[in-house]
Amino acid sequence: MELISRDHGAACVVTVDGTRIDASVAIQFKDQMKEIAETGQERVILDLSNVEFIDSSGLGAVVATMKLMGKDRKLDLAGLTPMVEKVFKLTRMDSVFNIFPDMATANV
Amino acid sequence: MTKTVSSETTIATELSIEFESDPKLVAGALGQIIDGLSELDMSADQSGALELVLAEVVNNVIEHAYSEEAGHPVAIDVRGAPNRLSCRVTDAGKAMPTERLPKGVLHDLNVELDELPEGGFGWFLIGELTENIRYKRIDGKNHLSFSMSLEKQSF
Repeated sequence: MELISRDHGAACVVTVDGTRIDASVAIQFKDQMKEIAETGQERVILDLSNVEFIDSSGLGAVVATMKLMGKDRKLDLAGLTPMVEKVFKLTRMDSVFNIFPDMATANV
Repeated sequence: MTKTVSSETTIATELSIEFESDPKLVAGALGQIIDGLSELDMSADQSGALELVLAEVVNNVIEHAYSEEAGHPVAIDVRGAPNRLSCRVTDAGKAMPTERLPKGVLHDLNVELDELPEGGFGWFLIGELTENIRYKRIDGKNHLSFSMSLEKQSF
């Protein structure tokens, strides 16, 4: 799993090059997201459309990223596949993030 | 007169795999299970739920029973009948602290940003998606068993 980031106006778009965010990559995901978040864009949009599977450690890594971005900046999510969407719904984390169906509706 | 009895054929799929306690081996092992159950015609939701529950259980085994030490055995047995899956995960690591399974409780999410939980979702997800969950310590091994219905949309 690799993260690819590109700036898009005032936002940074992060694409996941990999189909799983699980326990074997959660720390790597968190570290790479931290590096990206430190570049200081006000809004980071995580495009999850390639991710077919996420477990609780992957979910924890996404939440950790949002926390380290602080109150003045935003981590938004886009393109959740059905499995990933269900994990967010079951844990009610869908109420914590702005979630967009795809990158077009994320207003990039 | 002979009475004709139509006997219901029960197709059961049984699958057993064993692998070493290494996070990098989990995805492959779970993929093997899902592929091995293809004849049950599970929906994408059902196989997603099974894969998630097994991942959570196995992650717990690696993290807690084996304290993240690689090279120890983890076994998964699945028996799939048309309407139901019965699963058992076995390891030879440390026993659970109590015979009672951890209760998966969802944290209050109506909190300040820096108080949001980053963990503790595992047992909650397991509890939400399974039935008849049991833990037993037998002869130095942990046995965690559960079942999942293939009838209703459980996920």
